[in-house]
Amino acid sequence: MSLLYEMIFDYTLRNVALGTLLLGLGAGAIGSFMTLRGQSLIGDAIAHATLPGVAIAYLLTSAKDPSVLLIGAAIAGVLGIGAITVIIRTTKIDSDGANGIILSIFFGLGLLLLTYIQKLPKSSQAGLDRFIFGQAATIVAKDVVIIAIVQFLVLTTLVLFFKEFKSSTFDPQSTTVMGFNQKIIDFIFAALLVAVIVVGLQTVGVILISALLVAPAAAARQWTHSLKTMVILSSLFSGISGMIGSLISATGMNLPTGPMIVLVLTLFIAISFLFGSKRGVVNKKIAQIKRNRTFDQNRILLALDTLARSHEESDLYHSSHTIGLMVQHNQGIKRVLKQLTFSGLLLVDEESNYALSRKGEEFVASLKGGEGLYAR
Amino acid sequence: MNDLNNIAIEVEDLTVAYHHNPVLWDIDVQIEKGVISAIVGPNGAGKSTLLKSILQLIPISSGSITFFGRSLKEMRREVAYVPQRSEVDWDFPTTVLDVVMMGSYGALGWIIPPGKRERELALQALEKVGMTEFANRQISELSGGQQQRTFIARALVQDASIYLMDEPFAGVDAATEQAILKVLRELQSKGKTLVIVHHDLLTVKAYFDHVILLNVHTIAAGPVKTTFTQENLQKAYKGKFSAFKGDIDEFTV
Repeated sequence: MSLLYEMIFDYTLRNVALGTLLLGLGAGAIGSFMTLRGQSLIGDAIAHATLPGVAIAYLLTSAKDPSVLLIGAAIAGVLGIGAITVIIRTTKIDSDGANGIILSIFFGLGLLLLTYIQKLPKSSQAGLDRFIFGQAATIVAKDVVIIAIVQFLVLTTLVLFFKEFKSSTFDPQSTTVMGFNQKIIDFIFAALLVAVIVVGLQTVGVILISALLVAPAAAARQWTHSLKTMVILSSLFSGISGMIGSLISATGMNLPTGPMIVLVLTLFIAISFLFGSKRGVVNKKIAQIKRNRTFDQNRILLALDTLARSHEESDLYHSSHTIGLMVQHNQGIKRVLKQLTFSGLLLVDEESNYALSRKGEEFVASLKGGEGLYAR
Repeated sequence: MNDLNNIAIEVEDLTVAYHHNPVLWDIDVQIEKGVISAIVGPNGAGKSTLLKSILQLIPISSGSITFFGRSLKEMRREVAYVPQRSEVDWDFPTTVLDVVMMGSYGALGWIIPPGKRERELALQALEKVGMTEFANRQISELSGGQQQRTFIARALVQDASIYLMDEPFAGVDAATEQAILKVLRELQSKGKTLVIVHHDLLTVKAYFDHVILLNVHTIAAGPVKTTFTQENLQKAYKGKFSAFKGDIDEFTV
């Protein structure tokens, strides 16, 4: 409770909570499209590419004002995307390769410049290394306002162009034929991506901000088959884990924010991959067990039906051994027979021999009626 | 009647090259309004490339393409494309109805979302391809034939005058093949023009009335009766065609 109290009334914590929540909402939403477009790496490449922009902006202006640094970051991010596009178009290098090349070149350059800045007099106050791992506690009210405006614009654009993004993600060629210029869609998408990344830099850091884009989308996909639901879930996962992670980082032992957020995200992913209602491992396993059980049950019922047809009226009851031979499957057959008896489809006599009940006969008739061996 | 109005697609001197290797060389094709035309040729002949360059999905090195004498830009709404099934990720999180509704996006234009009317059009299209009961099915759960029908339904929603389809009969079951054929014939009876990349030489005579034999160059183009001959096929398949000798005539309609 005290954390909730502080979240509302403590100036720093309120800024941290609000800033990272808003940041995550936009990042998770755009991240869904990024992963579905098969461009999971591009967020990471853009984020790393912003670092030299931050450093150069500082060198040119010696300003500590974050908004100047962020403009530098945005310019470098756009240059990074441009370079990736040029590499893909003009060489035979694929998008993974192009992302990797730009990521390392820009990040390397950024680190070089940061080291240089740290050796300058008065540089200790620059605090630019917060851009690498992120430091949520440095968020002030003004930053929250910037984040809020940018995320509002990003989410509004996503809603407005939802149809275009959806169609061009699923089938870019047909979307082009229908008259939507793919270059315009790609441009809007890239602009949104750069905006989300740039405003999140000093909070989450260049190294891990892509986690806020990719991980929630992967987790959300486990719960739904609808794009709209996936985008909303991803947005919420990202916002909530961003907030929790940054609060722990800001209140605890001053741990870096980016890694803390990733830890919380890992929890979301683990739960989603295990228990996700559409693709989770546990759910799939349960469905498979159910299918197998239904299959076993139906085969036993059909076997008893065959036996009933080939035997005299007096000889309707058969031992589990006989039935097992019929279905060529003896393991656990007694358990399945008990289940069937329990659900009233089979009758059992004192010597543990089984026969079809009236209800069982009707069920066999419906099975033969075309619903097939797998139907229930 | 003005001659221009009778030529649905005119391709002149079309050349396409990837990294300096010509994929299509000096293609000249005229397709009349209201015909069903097959693009036929061996693997690597440039069949899909021809469709894509007609639609300006890939850059062309030279040549011109017009639709009823106009540019694609002016005729966008009149041209629909059915890509190969394998060109999209069927694991995309959406339903059959939603994909079919995408056919209405072009008419809606930017930003405006689809509504009741578009939903209605999509349901009608699904009925035409016999997929009504699958409207709310996840696209990841569809069979190959159902995927193909979904794509055709999406094209129907576009209500274009020219349809370009890439291998709609590839890898579908017999029932789907007949269902698709029925839809194509219905489109033709409404005066629509259809250009279809086709791989099954044995059905060309039964399904199509115009054929383009392609192997980087246009080997021959014209009515199936006079163009789809042993001699032309030999030229298109460069002797690799011998296995089919004799079979073609049996399927003459």
